[in-house]
Parts: sequence; structure tokens; C-alpha cells
Amino acid sequence: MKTLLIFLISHTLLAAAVAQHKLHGSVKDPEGKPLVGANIFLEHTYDGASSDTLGGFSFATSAEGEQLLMVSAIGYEAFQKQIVVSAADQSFDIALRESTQAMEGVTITAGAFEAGDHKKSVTLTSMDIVTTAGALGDISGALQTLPGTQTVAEDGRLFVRGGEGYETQVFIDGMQAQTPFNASVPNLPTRGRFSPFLFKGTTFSTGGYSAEYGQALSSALILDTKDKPAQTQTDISLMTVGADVTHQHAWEKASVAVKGEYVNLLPYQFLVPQAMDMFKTPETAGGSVVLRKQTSKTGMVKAYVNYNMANLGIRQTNINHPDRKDSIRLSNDNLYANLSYREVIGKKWSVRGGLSYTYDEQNRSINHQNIREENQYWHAKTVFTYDLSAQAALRMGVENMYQQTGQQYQQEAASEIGKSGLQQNLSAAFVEGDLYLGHRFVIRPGLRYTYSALQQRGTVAPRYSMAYKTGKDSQLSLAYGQYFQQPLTQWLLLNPQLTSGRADHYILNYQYVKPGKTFRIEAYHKQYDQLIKYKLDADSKPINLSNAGKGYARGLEVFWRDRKSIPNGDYWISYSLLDTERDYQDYPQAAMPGFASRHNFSAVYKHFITSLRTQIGGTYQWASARPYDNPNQEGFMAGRTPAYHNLSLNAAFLYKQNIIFYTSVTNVLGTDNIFGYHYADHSDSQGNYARQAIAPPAPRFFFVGIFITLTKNQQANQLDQL
Amino acid sequence: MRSLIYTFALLFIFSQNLFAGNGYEEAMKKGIEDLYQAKGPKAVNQSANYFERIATAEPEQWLPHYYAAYARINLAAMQQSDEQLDLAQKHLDQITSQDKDESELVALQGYLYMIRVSIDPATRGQELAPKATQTLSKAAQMNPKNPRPLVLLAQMEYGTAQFFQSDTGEACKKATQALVLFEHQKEVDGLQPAWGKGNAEALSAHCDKP
Repeated sequence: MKTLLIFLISHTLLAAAVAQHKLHGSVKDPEGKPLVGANIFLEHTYDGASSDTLGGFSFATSAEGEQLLMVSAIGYEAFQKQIVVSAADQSFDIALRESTQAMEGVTITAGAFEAGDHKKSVTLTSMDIVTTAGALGDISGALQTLPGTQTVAEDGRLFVRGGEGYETQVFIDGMQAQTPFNASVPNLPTRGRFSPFLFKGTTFSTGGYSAEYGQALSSALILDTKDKPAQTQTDISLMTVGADVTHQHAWEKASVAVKGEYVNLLPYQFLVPQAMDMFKTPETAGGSVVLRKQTSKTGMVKAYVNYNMANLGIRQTNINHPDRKDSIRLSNDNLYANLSYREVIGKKWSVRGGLSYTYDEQNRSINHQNIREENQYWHAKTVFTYDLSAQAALRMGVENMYQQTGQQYQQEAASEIGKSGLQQNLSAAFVEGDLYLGHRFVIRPGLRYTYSALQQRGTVAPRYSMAYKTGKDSQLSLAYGQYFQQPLTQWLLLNPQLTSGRADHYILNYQYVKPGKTFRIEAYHKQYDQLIKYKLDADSKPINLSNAGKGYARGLEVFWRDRKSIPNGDYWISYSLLDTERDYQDYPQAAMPGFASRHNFSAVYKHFITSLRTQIGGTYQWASARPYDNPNQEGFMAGRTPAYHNLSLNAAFLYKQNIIFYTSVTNVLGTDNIFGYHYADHSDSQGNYARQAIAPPAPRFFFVGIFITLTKNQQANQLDQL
Repeated sequence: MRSLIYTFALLFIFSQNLFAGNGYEEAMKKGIEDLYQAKGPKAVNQSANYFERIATAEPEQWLPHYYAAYARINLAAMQQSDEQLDLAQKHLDQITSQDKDESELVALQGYLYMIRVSIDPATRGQELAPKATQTLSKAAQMNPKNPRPLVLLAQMEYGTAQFFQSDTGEACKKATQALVLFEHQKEVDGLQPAWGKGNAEALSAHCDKP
């Protein structure tokens, strides 16, 4: 009897436990479109279902009473709802909200181009930087295919939105790199000192950048060095212009990399004749050491030291003395050291910062005149980030920049040495917040204060930016900011009381990003004030220096990239329209400066041919006429150069897993590009001023290299170092 | 009567426990069977969702997370989707259980890196391909009897050798070794990872072709 009773009771109990209730319904996105494959279930049970192609779901459960209905889907916020499961069938129509945490979440994009290997919505990867035809492995060379930059091929630095080359500041792991480009003589293009394969991420901002970055009127190039490499390897590069060797050793929590390089254009000069008479062909030698140490799960310390020496000597025809040539010599020693750290302190705080030091010595001589300039820069910085909540974060930091400059000047070998010098200390503090208002809107207000010890003056620079997500793949960004930058050292040496130049940026940006496709359009206005203005005396020396210079730049830029539509193919197209004038330096009136061109266009294509294991690529760049001042012509800066054309091609062949052959040619069509003219100081007997074109030393540049990687298992190659 | 209540109570507790225990194992077995049978992204996603549900209900178990991650990685391979890999990584990161099989988990992490590379080999190959190889080698070292890291390594090496038209011998040797290990694989409770044999067989078939 008992047994029977037990049996009966337990059986009914079990039966009750498996009594089924049915739940059904649909899952939709905020626009009411069905969401396929979402996971709908009751918490603490196994009961649930995946939504079908119409977003519908249906499942049975043995759970009863109060339950938590949960829904999850990629790219959407997790949904939870308290429900009561009862006997009757129940229906739920659920609308999910887009996730702010999702990769496609709203971020401020006004002015900034991000390049990196880890984020998914980047415009360029570091791989792109090194495989772009015509860039020759130079970071700024590759960035010149992006909108906002102007082609100033005789210089090599980044000229952004009507700004001069010096208005772009380079930061490595947040620390200023004061001399990011190799020293060069006028009209011989320079290259970046830092190898692109040092960096995992690049943010190229053409305006509206964060309050963290100062001393840049036009643009910030923010480079983040790689973290610890995975393996020990040796890379050897043999090139027509030189060679380099890098060895990196990786331990569990630390790594060290040592690099040595030597570049000499002498052999190349015999193969490809150069229009420039070089009595000392450009030669650079250098080395670097990178140490990386993971100090904890979230902490990292990096140290980087780079040394470069460069030498060159050229003879240039002097348009004022056609019978003789000026001999120009340059030697440069440059040391850059950077120590940076980052760590998470507790749940809400994190800290990062560092120290950088630059030593740069340049010896220039023009005929018998010698100039020696020695510069030292210190930069220290600490930034704290405080996460108030998922919707709000605060960043604040302090920094100090110290510069010491000494200059010696000698008219002739025997004459007296003139000396001048300068010390400048800039202290700065900034605070900036990220505030998410709902799922579609983010604002970033910021404030930066800088105090100059030299001029005993401070500047306050407010900056605002915001972004609004207009759809799943699109967003609108706005930015406004005030930017200050100290005058160039050459002007401060003449008058230390000159104050910072100022630029106000106004930017409107629309971006549409789908996997593999990016479209951006950006309009901006930039107002320049307090630029350096002076007059030239009879010896062409600047006098009466003041901050009375002004100017503006405005324009429209379009970028389109598609790496999806063509199998194994990838292309991007950039167009920049620029309207700019400035009244600065010794300009008698406002005019479009000589480095600016109204239209800049570039198209880059890359294609991987799997059967040949070869990547081929081409870059076409076009820039419309640049102004120059022609004393034979009415009006100031009224002359116009011919338009600039450059078609460059490259190919990389993976011979073996660890051996790559690489070749590239710039300006394949051999277009005779002219960047401007030098005019004689005095007219000839017919009242005509003679002139001399500023042109590249050779129309084309050929490059051939072999890159070898040696590892224990021969897995890696140097494809991303080309 | 008192004994009746006791018996009843005992039975109740027992049946509850039994029900829960068996429920988990049965649910897992059914899920694993479905996952191994799943063809096409829809079915694999359903499997991944299924294991995600069990993982949420059984936070102490490592296997639901393991299979959810495995399903997501397979789905990522089919859809070339980084988001699926991010979810898979989340599952792997959530495993706290002590009785987990480290070699299997490290192998799955290596598999995840492998698929991460395959989505954008040109960009990620340099950094992630050595990382994938290293992680899989580590898994094989941790448990030399685990065939899964071996077959994944064989697949990676075979693909690379084919691309460079070099010798596939080393890759094929690994595939054969993996097959031997699969033959000796012991079924503990039917819940332990057992996938990968098909991959090894398919690779061996390629290797045997003249």
C-alpha cells in the first residue's frame, strides 16, 4: 500500500514537473525588421529557442510562475522581462535596442581617420600603410592618399587643410615626437624617422582632436606602438638603397627588439641619374631598441630609443649668380627616447603616461656660411581616466614640455661666431568627458590650459565634439575647438615675446560604414589668427615680427573605400576641395599660399593574385595648380604651376613563407612635375626676372628589396613591413 | 506514517537531484549530437544559442561554454564574422570551473585565432598566425594525446604548404598522428570534446592523393 502510494505520488509529482507551457512571439530591431537567430530563453532553465527568418519564436517550458525572459542577439542590448508563466499560451513581441557597446556603436569621427589592426571599423590598417604604392613604406606617404592632405611632394611632411607642415604634431604612445622627420635641405623631400612596423595603431586627425593634444594648429598624428610580440625572430631587409636588420626576442611577459639600419643613395645614383648635383649622396645610419614589459594583467611599460645620423651635400644653381653653384651641406644627429606606461587602478580608474626626450643637432653650411643648431626637448605627461558609469567617463591630465635651443652662426670660416639661444617651458592641463545620452548620442566637452613661461602667458582652449547615430551604419559628427601652437623656434629666437598662433576648427562629418565599405564626407572651416607676420629688410632679413597674421581654410572632403566588392581587390578614393588664403610672413596681402592646391585627388588599388602569390598595387595622385609669386606678372601669388600627376605601381611576391620580393616605381608615366619657381632678386637688362623651376631630382624612383624573416618555425614573414 | 513521509521526502529529494543531474547530461548529450550534425549557419547558430542557455543556467559547468564557443567559432568560419568570434571569446573568458580540461580549452583558443586570421589573412596573418600556431602547439604539449590541436595544426600547415607549393609531408604526418589519437580516444561520459576526426580524415584523403 505504502509503496503504491509513494509510486503514485512521485509519479504525479514528476508529471507536474514536466507539465508544458508554450511561449511564442517575435523579435524585432528598433526599425521593426525581424531579427534572425536571436536567443530567447527563460533564465535558470534550458528552455528557449532561436528566432526564425521572420523573427518568430516558439518554445515549451516546464517552468512555472515568475520567470525572467531573456533575449540576446549580436549587436543588440540584452533584453530581460519579468513574466509569469501560466497555463495559457503566451505571446511576446520584443523590440531590441542597438547596443552601445557594439563595435558599430556611436563614436566621434569628425576629423579623425583611424588605422589599426584590432578595431573593425578602421579606415586603414597598418598593413595598408606599408603596401600602398608610392608611399615607399613611409607613414606620411600613405596618409597622403587620405582626404585633408595636400600634395607637397618636394617636402614630404603632412600638410593638412591649408596648414603648413609644422602644424601637424606627431605623438608616439601619447608623447610628443618633436623631430619626427629626417632633416633635409629645401626641395629634397624628407621621410619619417619612425618605421611603420613599430606601430599597431594610427589615428590621423585632420582637425577637431581631443583636448589631450596640444601644440598643433592643424593636425595630430597619434601613433601607438605595438605591444609584446608573440615570438622571437630576426628580420633582414636588403634594398637597393640600403639594408637593415632587426632582432626581437620574446619572453612570456617581456620582449626586446634591436634594429640597425644603413641607407645610402650612392649606388642608386649611378643606376638612375639625378638632376641634383650631389657631392655627398644622402646617407643615414641608425639604430633603435624597444623594450616592452607586461607588469601585470593590465599593466604595460614600454621603452623606445632611436638614434639617427644623416649626411648629405648638394650643389644647387643660384638663380642670382648663374655662373656659380651654391654648395649646401647638412649633417644631423638625432636621438629620441620614449618611456611610457599604462595600468588599471581599481574598477573605475586607469592611468597612463610617460616621458620623452629628444636631442637634435644640425650642422648646415651654405658655401662658407655655417649654422649649428642644437635642440633638446623634454615632455612628461600623466593622464587619468575615471569611468563614472557605462554612460560617462572623465579624462584628465597634466603635462610639461621643456625646450632648450642653442644656435651658432658663422658668416665665414674665419669670422666671429654669433650665438643665440632660447629656453621655453610649457605647462598644460586638460580635462575632457565622454557622455552618452541614450544609445545614439555622445558628447565630448573638453578644456585645455597651457602656460608659457617664456611669454608668461596662458591660453585656454575649449573643445567640443559630438556624434549622433543616424542609422545602424551611419552617423553624423560635429566638432569645434580652439587650437594653439607656439611660433617656430626660428621666430622665437628673433623675438621671444611672440605668442602662440591660433586656429579655430569647425567640422561637420557624415560617415557610413558597412563591413568592408566606408564612405565619409566632411565639411570644415578653419580660422587662423595670431600667425607670424614680418617685413623683410634690404638683406632679406625678417624685421618687425608680430602676431598680426591671419588666414582661413575651408573645404569639403570625400572618402570611399571598398574592400569587398572585388574578390581579392581593395581600393579607396579620396577627394579634397580646399579654399584657403592667409596674410602672414612677408605677404603684402592675403593670398593662397604656395603649398596649397585647390583640388587633391587620389585613388589606390591593391589586388592579390593568389595563383602567383603576388600583391600588385597602384596609386594615382592628382593635385591642381599651386600658386607662386611671379615678379614678372601683375598681382601677388598670381602664378600657377601645372597640375601634379603621379602614378605609382608596386608588387610584392611571396617567394616562400619567410621571403618576400618587393618592387615599386613612383611616377611611372614620368610626368614632369613642377612645384614652384625661384625667381632672381633683380631683373635683367630687359626688366625680366629670371627663374628656376623647383622639380624632383629625378622623375621616377625605383625600389627593389628582399625581406627575409628568420624564426624557429619559419612561419612569419615581413609582409607588413614593406 | 512517519516513515512514509521520510520515504516520500527522500524520494522527492532524490528524484529532484536525479532529475537535475540527468537533465543536464541529457540536455548536453542531445545538444552535442545536434551540434555535430548541424549543417549550415542556421543550425549551428541554434546550437550555439542552445549551449548559451545551458551555460547561463549552469554557471559552474565549463562544457556548455566550451560547446557554445566551439559552435560560434564554426559559425564565424562560415560567415566570416568577427562578432561571432567575440562572442566565442566571451564564452571562453567566462569559464571559471576548476575541473576544466586545459588542453581542450587552449586548443579551442588556438582554433579561434586560426579563424580570426582566416577572416582577414592579409592584415592579421603577421601577428595572429604565429599566435595561433603557438597556442595550438601549447595545447598539444599540455596533453600529447589530444588529437584536436594536432589536426588543427595539420590543417594550418597543409594550407600554408599548398599556398607556397612546398612540401605537405609534415602536415600530412600530423594528420596521420591525429587519426591514430582519434582511434584511441576514450569516451568518458559522452560529454567530453570529441570533434575533429572528420577534419583529420578529410585531410588524410587529400594527402593520399598522388
